[in-house]
Amino acid sequence: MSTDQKDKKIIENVWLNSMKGLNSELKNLDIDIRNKVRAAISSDGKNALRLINNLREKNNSYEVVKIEKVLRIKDCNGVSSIPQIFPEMPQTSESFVRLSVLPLEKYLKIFDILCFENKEKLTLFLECLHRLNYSIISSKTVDCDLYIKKIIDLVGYSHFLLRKAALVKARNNQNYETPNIDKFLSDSGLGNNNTIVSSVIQSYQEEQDYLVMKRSIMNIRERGDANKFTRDMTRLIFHPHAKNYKDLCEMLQSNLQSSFIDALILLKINSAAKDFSSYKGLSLVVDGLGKSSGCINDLAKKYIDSGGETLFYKHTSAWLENKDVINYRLLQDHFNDDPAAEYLNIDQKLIDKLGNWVESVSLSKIGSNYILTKHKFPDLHELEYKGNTTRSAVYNYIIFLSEGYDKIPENELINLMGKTRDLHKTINTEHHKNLVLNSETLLSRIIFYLLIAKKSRNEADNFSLRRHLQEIVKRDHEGSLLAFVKFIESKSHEVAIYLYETCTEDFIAKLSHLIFTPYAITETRASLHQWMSELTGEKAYLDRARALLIDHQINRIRNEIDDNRIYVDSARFAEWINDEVTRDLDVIFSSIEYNKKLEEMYDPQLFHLVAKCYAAFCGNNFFGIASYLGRRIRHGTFKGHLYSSVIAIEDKYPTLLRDASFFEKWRRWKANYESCVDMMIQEYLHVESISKPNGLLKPNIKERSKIDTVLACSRKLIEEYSSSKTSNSASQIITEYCWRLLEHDLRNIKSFIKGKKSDLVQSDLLSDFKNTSNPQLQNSAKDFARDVQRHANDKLLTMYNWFNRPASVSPKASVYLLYKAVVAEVRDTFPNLEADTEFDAEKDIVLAGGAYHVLYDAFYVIVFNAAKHGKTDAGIKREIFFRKGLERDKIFIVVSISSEIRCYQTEEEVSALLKVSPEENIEDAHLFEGRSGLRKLHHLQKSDNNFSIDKVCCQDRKVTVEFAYKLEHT
Amino acid sequence: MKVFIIEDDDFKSKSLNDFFVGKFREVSITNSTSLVDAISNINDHVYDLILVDMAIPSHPIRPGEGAPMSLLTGGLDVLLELKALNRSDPCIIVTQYYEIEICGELYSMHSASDAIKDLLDCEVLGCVGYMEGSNDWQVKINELLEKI
Repeated sequence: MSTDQKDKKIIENVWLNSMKGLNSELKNLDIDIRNKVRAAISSDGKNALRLINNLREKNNSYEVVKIEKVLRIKDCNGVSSIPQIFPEMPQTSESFVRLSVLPLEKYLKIFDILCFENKEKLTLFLECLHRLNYSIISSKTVDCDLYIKKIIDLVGYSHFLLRKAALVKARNNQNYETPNIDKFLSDSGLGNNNTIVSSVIQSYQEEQDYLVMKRSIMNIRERGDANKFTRDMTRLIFHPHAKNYKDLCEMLQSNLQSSFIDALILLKINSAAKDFSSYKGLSLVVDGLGKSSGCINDLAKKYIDSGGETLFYKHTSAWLENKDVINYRLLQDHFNDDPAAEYLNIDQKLIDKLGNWVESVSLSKIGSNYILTKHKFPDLHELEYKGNTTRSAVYNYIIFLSEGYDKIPENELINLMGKTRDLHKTINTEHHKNLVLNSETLLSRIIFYLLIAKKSRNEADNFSLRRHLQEIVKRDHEGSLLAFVKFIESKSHEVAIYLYETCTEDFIAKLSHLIFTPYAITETRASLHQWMSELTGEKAYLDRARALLIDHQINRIRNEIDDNRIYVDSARFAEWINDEVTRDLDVIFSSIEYNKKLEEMYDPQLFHLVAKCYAAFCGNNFFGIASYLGRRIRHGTFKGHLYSSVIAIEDKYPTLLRDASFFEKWRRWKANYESCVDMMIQEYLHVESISKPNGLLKPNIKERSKIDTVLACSRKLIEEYSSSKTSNSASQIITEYCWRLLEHDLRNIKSFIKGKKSDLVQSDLLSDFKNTSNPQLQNSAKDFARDVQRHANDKLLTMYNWFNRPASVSPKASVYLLYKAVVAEVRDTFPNLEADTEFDAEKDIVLAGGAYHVLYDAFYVIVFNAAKHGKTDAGIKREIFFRKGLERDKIFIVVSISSEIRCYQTEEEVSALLKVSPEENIEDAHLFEGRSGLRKLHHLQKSDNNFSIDKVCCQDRKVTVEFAYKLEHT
Repeated sequence: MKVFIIEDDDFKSKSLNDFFVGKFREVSITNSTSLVDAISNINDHVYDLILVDMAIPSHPIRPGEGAPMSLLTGGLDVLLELKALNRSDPCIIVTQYYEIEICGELYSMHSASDAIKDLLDCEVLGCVGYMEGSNDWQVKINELLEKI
């Protein structure tokens, strides 16, 4: 018999057996029901679904159990509707047609029947679960792996077991082999971008921002029945509590679709919704689940010295069979979340229940040594005391009870702020405004407003924060925001850092009573970065400060009007990324990691996700470029500047315009000019869309250069994920690269405006202005034509600059301007320094990202050395060019600077001075060698892998230093 | 009549100035092109009428000083400052964009005044859509001036 014949035979046997099973199950049904079930089986999709829903609705629970047994054996014309109660494969996708929801009582009865029918199996399951839980608590990873396999063999797959498996994996620090868990995760779709499994895996990562992830999962866009299962299953790790009766029934239906075990666990979590003690079989199993899970104290103990309460809270979703865990989660899940979340239902029943868990403490005692919860678990108490999750939830809970009509002394408030977390995301803003009214000090009001303003969209809240902040800074800190931050730091490290994070350039710019120039914005933010660097010892903050100050120096050198009007509200864009993208990012990262493709640094889905972000970055009407393009440029402003301001020239030439023939020429010119301006506005100054196909801002990634930028962004995202195992910094990276992408489009807009110049100015018509019939008006006509041209040119130039990328949003600088700024700075010390700093703007090289302050430092070292030791009046020569690397796609910017040595020096002497021996300590070069020195250059090489010194030599009485910087992309 | 015009676009500012100079025999007009200047002026002076643009820069633009921030709702800060100073100088919002963003939502010219009252507790006489070359905005401002 051939293989094909064998397969055919096996299939036939399976079919025959299933038909036998079907017939025997059908026999258990009354004839009337049997016929209806047969009708359902033989009907097409829609009809079958209607008939099945009817059968489930009209018949009692016993009959429904029997009907479903039949339907599990035989699909209705290919429509899978009734999942297995103990599935042989993990259910992590929308594989079944969703059935209508039954009343809770009916579910309970069905579950009760199923518990009786599967009593033996469930008893064995509970025993096995007990052993698994014990193994998890004892960190016996290999045993865990075996028990998970046993449970799968006994009762099939479940989301409940998936959480246990993911927890074992997350805590497997010793990297023990876990083949069964690995297979489980793989079968669940971890390598195939499955949202359900990757959300579980990601939620157990220590550094993962839990609330961001929760928000992204709980806000999965509703697509009705098409994704109801996914939404209900993913929420189990974050908010397994049903909002109401209807929600519970929906969730039960989804969980039943995953596994009967999941339905039982969900029922256990929400057991407060309905007393089911009269359902004996069900009660027995549900109670057994609790007994098998061990004591919460043992679970908590492990986290006291490893991970703390934050990690414990994340991992508790793997212990939802434990009633104390459920009680613990009830507080956290409801009060460590945005109170406006639509899935929350904080009613009296919940408050009463929480009253049994939370101690009656006053607001001012939450930050002190008081025990905040009533349970009797000492290790959990210790964990809560050392952590800040429970304290934050209790803070929100107490304020909820008082509606904010409460008081807390300033020092207690500051202390409390250091011991809580994420309050800016979880507070009730209205209640906090009541707290503001009861605050006795200005500082207390500021602290409350710091929380309110970050959460609220109301401009009045942000204004109140700024008003109070400016008052205290002016009154007590001589107008210095930095001094105020330092003062706060002396009281609370956490509040000071929070304040630093609040005081972004956008925020500082609106401190109208403190910050009087654009430079003051830069200077203040840079001083805060410097302070942060001193506080944390992290160089990155110092680099940011330097980048800002170098930007300013370049501005000074350019000495031009900088009126860019293109912007993106980065805070709101980050919020959008968190809501719309984080979830998919986590799925992609999990999948890449699982498939061991982190080194490949490329993933097509990641590429598309970055492209999606760029589309929103450009097109969103609230935070995107489109909003600024619309409000600051297109509506009235563009035409007002380019048309009205130019034709206003008419007022200067009344006599000339009284000449009929001249007036006619002018009218014609004006009409053409206006229609050209209108066409630019109506057709081109838009984000490209179906209705605006000529929009110059292309929210897509089609150009080669844009593709390179997106690839660089993807690489950076994967690199960051590889090191942190979280997506926490993704929004910052994406924002930075979106600005780089925009650069390509802004270039197109600018060249479009340049290209329109001739259409606008209409030189032929303008020349004709001079040919007036009245010779007395000829001079005036010439002046008029010249004025019109000059005005139009000036306006175009101004508007050209509207489309510059704002310097504050991400580091970027022209290499030539950097060089020019350095030369200017060195001239402060060596006024006679000769150096050619002119350059052709067309050939300028612009560097984006943090690289440019490295180049600035390198320029400084070389130019300062040349000025100090070389012949200053002989001039410094520089050459800047690109060089392709040996590796594909690698490109370097190369800088070569040479200067003449002084007359009395010999080449040998200078060469000796230039030599830096390998033994020399270059680590502290920046500390000891005054303002310059080649050791600093070597220090740069050591601290930045992209920077390399290619040449340092003295030849032909010239010192030449050449260095290269590896670029990410061009 | 002391009029204060907060507007960064020179052509619009000129039209508004011309309109008030033409309308009132005795009028003193102060102009500001940025939020910081506007705040400073309203702290120093009381006005009979304030015309507020919505999208304004944070600071005046000067060569070599870098770019100020573009504030899409900067005009609301002016209204909030007046409220904080317990002032009731009559204000009219004059903007070229057809909608006004308040608390993260876009409101039409027609409904923006009520939203400003409800959400920010600030009073404005009304909101006027400005269009260069049209006289509609003048008619609307004239109507609103009747309320003073």
